[in-house]
Amino acid sequence: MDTKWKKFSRSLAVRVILNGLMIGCILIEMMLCLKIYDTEKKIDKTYTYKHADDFYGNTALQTDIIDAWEELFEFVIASNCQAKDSANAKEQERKLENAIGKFQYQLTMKDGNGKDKTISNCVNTSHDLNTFPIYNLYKGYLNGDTYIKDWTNYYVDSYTEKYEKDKGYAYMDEDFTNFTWLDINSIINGLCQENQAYSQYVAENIVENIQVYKDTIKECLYYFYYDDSNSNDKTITNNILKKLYSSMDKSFISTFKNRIADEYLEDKEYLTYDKTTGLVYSDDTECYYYMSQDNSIKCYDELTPKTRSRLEKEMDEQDKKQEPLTKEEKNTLIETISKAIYIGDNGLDSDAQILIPIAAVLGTPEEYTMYIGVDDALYQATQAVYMDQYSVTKEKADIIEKQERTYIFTLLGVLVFLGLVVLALLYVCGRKEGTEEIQYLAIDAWYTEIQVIFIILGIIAGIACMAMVADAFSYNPLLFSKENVLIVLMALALTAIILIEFLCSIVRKIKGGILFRQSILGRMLSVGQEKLYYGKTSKRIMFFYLVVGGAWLFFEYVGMCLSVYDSEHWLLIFMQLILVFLLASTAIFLHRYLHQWDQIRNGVKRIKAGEINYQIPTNDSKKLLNLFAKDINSLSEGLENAVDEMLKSEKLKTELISNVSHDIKTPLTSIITYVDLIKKEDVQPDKVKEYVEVLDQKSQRLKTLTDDLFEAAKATSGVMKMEATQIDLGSLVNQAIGEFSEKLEKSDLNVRNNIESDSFYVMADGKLTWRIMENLLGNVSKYALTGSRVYIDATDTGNMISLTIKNISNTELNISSEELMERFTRGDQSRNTEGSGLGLNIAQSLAALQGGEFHVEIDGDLFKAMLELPKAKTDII
Amino acid sequence: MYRILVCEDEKSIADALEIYLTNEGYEVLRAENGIEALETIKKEELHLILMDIMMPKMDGIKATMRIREEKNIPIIILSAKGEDYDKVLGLNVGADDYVTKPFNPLELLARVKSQLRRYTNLGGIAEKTTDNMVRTGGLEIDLSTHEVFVDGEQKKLTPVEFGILSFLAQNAGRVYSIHQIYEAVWNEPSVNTENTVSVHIRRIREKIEINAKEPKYVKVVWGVGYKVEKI
Repeated sequence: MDTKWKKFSRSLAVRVILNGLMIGCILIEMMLCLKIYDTEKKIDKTYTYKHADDFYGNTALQTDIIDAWEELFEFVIASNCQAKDSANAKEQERKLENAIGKFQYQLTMKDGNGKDKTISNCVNTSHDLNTFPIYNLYKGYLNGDTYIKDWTNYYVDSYTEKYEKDKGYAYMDEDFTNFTWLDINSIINGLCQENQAYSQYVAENIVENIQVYKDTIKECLYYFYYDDSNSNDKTITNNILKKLYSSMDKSFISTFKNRIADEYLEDKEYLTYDKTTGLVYSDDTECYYYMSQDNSIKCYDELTPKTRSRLEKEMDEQDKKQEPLTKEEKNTLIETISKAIYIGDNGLDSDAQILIPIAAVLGTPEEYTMYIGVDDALYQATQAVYMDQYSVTKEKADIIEKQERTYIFTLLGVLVFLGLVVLALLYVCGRKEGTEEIQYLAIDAWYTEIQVIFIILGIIAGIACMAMVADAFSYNPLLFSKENVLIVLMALALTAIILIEFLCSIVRKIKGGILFRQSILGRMLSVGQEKLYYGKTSKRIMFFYLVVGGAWLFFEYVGMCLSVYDSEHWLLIFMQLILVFLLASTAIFLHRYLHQWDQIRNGVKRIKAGEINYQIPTNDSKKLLNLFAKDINSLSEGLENAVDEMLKSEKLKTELISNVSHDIKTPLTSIITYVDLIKKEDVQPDKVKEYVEVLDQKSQRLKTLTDDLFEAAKATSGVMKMEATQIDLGSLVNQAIGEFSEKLEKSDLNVRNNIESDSFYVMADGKLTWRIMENLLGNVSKYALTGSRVYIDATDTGNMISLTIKNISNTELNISSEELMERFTRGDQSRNTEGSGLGLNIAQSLAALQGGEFHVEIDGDLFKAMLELPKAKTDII
Repeated sequence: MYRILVCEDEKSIADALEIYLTNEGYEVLRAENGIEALETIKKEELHLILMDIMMPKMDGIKATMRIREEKNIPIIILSAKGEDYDKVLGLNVGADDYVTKPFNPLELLARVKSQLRRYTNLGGIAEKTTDNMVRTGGLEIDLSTHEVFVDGEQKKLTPVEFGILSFLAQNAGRVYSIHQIYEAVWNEPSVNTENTVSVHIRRIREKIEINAKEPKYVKVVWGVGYKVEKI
């Protein structure tokens, strides 16, 4: 079972099928998306508003109600702000009548007992508001929260956010927090009546006593003063401001600065307000700005002391001057406040900041209630038309929506199936029938991080792409043709397939246990391991630099981040100081280190050059290089001892050879001389003469033998001194032949010397080389076949010069060349003739002593002696 | 009648030397070490000293140095020490000749004679000196008469041999290659004539040197050429 399952799950067919399924699923998903897009497009949005029983389709009625509401609002304000019989109020009333026409309205106010008291209702008095309770009026339209909310959706930036069902009215809240109706009558009436004292009181009340209002009124005044192009006489506003507010006022300063910034393109950051002169100074352009009488901003390039004192005096006077507002100024103030109240309605380009608190001046919410009523008949008549249209389109939309839902469910189902397929794919990937080893594909060679980044980027790109499409679609569905959508979807499908393949690759790597090894980090660490962790000292230094450098970089980064807010942050400066310190200490460290290093290098060089008792200067510190230098010193001490030892033993050896030689030679001298003396005597009988002859011969031979023996001993023991110079091999051979000419002629040997002088130069000791030649030519003259030819040649073998002497032996050479080279061996096996049998051996030792080689070859009767000597570097003497 | 001091601690050798020298008609005095030798030199009139090196009490090198402080009697060192540096040392401290043991009695006698000749005939040689005389050590070459004397004894050389010897002796101390010698003496370019020169040199040595194998005047510089030592 298990093996069967294994065989099945690892078969190629399963993998191919799963991959096919995966791709198929994704394509199906995309096709479904396209379908959903299609159906979505078909639904007519115009008729899809929420519920059938509201009046959303009935836009005409809706607009009328909104208009009426606005007019009512304005009327209330106008009728309260101005004298009832003023032209403006009349105008407002007329407008209201026009707008409200088909509706009814009611404005109620709570009295002291908490009872609603109608303060105004339809101008058309035929409508008795009391007989039109609000719920009746709004029956069918004002259907709870929905109405208010949706209405605000349509009336952009509307007044209201809240609708209190039980109270039946809406009021400003949240953003328009304090837009309320408190004391509107008293304040506004006071302001608007021609009662100066009261106006003054209100103005002061607003300006000074009511903290909340103060800033608002002020800002409103400034706003009008600076920005309202309609303001015909700014001088008055300026005077009001000067009278009411100190020149130190924050709002004034900030408004002033804003204006400068706008008009002169200054950066507000560089502007500073001087309270003594009332000037604004710019650090950037080095100008002094001031506000002239005509309300324009001007600037001095330079501030003379005279001007300064004048300005200071003015400012001082202005602050002291607490003149009451003139009539004209009061009017303007009231006008301004009134205007502020209208701002929202007039759609002036202002921000709520000014508007809202101005509204707050007007009182608290609960006191006033404003109603708008719609006639049932009117509603029925208008609504019926829209409802008909609506129901038809809604039916269509319902069918399409149902279809869309089906698509969506299918899409989800396929998505689940796709998930299962992907899981199965992850399970089987990397496996192959008949082997436990993970099978890798080319894609697996990619580093893990890159794959992960690809996956993340792919997902982000997919989501972003879809979000963008959805967003764009909601703005303008026409922008996206079916073809466009198809292309986007195909791209998404391709991305999804690639991502799944990447996922499979990562899973394969996990299965094979190479996820980390095949990552950039893993590679870096495995490289680092070899390079970083190989010495205690290097580890320590690396650790130091990692910690210090890391900490430094961290703080430097923090400092840089902070310096964004503060252009010269102390941390950054501090870190720079630390950097300087670090660099300096590194330099000092390096200097010391390198100095010591140089000392060691110099010392080692001197020791190498033979000055073995040289001591590198050291101290007592435990520093690395110091210890190293000490080690080298002790090493050179050891070396010195060894060399001394060697010299001593060599001296002993030399002395030994010399002494033994002396001790042998002394008795030999006696023997030879006395034999000679005997020879000179006329000894009888003749037999004795023969004996003496033998003694003479043998003593001479003993002499030769001793000489050669010591020569050989010296050559092999290394006692012999060698002085290599550049010598001409050709000349040397000629000289040697010259020395031997007599002996060679005696043996009737024809020497063919093929070495020309000045053609081969060797680095050798002339005397030692002569000794070799002497032995070789001696052998030739002794053992070569009489009347034969002797050939001497030389060849260049690269680093060596090879000299060859060939001759024909006069007796059969029945021993090997190796035996011939041994001491006391002679080719003829007879020891009767002169010679010690050491010649070739000595030649070999001497050749080795000069860094060369010597060997002989025997080919039948052909005797070949070969001498190799190091070639001289240049051929020019 | 020349008086020769044999300074030798080995009695048998000293005896043998005495026999040889007496046979040649010299009077022999003996010393067993350096100190005895010095004492004898103070008391007696001597013409030559044969000096061993390795002796008890005072060795031959030291004795030679002491003798040289006062006298210029010819000293021939006779030693078993045959190394080059031994010879150089001996000659440097003031010895006139160096003979290694075991020695050839004939050669030794020749060297003795030669030294005595030089020592006693020194004045006569000086008389003969002319501009055309080339001299180095005991070697004298008369360029006008083509005569060659070694320690006052005339040697017979062929014209070529004389040419080579006089050429080298005139430039004593300098090393000449075979080619240079040939070209200078034969006065024609040398082509494959090397052997000729070296054979001639050997013959010259055999004629003028006491022991041709250890030449005093005509020396080989192996691999370079030949020279006449400047003494």
